[in-house]
Amino acid sequence: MAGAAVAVHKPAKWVLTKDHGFHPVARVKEAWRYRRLVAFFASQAFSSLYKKTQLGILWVPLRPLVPLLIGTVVYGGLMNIPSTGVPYFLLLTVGFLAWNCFDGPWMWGSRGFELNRDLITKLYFPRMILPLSTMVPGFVEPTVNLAVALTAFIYYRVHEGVWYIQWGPRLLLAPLFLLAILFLAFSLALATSLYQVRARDVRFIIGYFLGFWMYLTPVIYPVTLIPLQWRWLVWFNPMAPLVEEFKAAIFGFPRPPAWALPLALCEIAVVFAAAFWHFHVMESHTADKV
Amino acid sequence: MSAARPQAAGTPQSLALWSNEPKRPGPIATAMEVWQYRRFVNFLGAKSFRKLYARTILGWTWVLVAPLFPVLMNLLVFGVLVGMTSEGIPYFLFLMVGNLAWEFFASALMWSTRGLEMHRKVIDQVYVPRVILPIATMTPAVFTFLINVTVTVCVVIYYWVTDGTPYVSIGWNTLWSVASLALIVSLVLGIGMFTSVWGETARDARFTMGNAVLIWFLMTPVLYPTSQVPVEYQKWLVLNPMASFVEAFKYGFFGTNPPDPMRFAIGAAIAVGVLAAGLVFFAWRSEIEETAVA
Repeated sequence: MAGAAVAVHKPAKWVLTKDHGFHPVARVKEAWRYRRLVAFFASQAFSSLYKKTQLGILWVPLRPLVPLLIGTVVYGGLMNIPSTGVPYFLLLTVGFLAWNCFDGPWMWGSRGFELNRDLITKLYFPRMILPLSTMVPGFVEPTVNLAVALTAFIYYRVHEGVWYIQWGPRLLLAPLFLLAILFLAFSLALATSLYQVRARDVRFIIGYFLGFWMYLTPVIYPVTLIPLQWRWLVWFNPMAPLVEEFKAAIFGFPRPPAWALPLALCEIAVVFAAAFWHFHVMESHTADKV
Repeated sequence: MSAARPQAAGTPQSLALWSNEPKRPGPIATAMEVWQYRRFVNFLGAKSFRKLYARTILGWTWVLVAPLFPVLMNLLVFGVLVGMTSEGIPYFLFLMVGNLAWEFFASALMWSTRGLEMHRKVIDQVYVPRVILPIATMTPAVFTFLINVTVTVCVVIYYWVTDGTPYVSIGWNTLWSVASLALIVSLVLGIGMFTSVWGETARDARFTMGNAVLIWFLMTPVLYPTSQVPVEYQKWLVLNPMASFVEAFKYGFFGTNPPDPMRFAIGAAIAVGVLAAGLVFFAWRSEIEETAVA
């Protein structure tokens, strides 16, 4: 028994020392050691999604369906947005699938510190884990969208006899674009979660910001709707090439210009580096000022 | 409470006024009681506000800024990108006036749904006629309305200066606006009586109402004029009292496109009926709750 206890604790490995300077690799390694906390914080945040409701967990798949239905009626029906050869419902569902990997995870990740306000003043753990793990409730909407999209693809196959999916090696790239989007959401959440714990304003601002950002990204409309002389401008928004590449990989649409994707990835790398460094500078401060 | 009324303090009447006695049944006694406790409206309204913008840096400033974002977004999407028609009135003004009536309805409804849930602590600690809670939590919606009115006046002045015409005609037709506002209040209170009881224990009420209000918004001619509704659907508008109220509210401002009086009357009847049903339901539920606590 005693031997087992010693083996479990490994005391030397868990000594807390003052952190001098900026060691990004050590930071990430440390976060990896505490990886089991991710599941804990994630499940806590997830259960807050439907706490104190009568329908309980049923709300989780129900809520993302409403924007899809409303969007199809308003954008596809009333506004008659063209959908370049695929049913508008599919275009919207696939567009939302990519976009919801961004807005939900960013909004939720941004609440990491705020939701665990009591714990951060009492315990030490790598704070980076908080925005990372509270992103999890944001995965619900993309998952539901994915299920809806798959059902719709099969429906159209059965009724119209057409696979709107472009089967091919490019399809394998589609999840990678979603990962890049998630990574951008995480980078932004790293930076904003620090401020949100002190000022709830941040949440309102992000909400409005995302509203406008979505219309600047080809989510509800195909990028060909933008006049050709302005289209190059769209690609400077890092979300635009990623969403468009994702749609191209699934539907086989023409791809954005070759320079657009590398540019977006560089932008994301810059945002991540800045956010990570900022997080390093601010995190100890923030824990004291909560 | 008697100490807060210095002019009446110490006199036997004032003591009698605030003594605890069994609740008198009946709608008139309840209405009188609500009037007696009217100062709670201020208190609870202020409390709702504080909760809304607690722990923000801008604090009160959000009250001014927040109502403008949705309007600007709709202006961008439906006015600029879609180019919606608006019966000869600049789209921005058309949208602002429709939004004035709608936003008051929507935010008042969302707030009154939260009335009992937000102030549960208050009713656990002191006696307040419960019906005051959904009424008092509507206060933030009233403020939003006033902000929107101010912005609308600025927009009118802007068009007056640039186009030489204010587009607005205030006169006897403005009574339509006043009447539809009163009916909107009645409709909101009626629905709020049901949803606040539901929302006291279940967050489902908030989720459901949030989605319902969104769908309702699209079915109400706010973003588009009534004339844009396809002819075969026009007859169904009668089922949506908000369509009649928003239409009448706009007529009160612009003096063009008078509303269908029959449809308005049916809308008014629905609004008053919902309020009556809501009050009866709420009184019945309150009685159960209050006896359960005692």
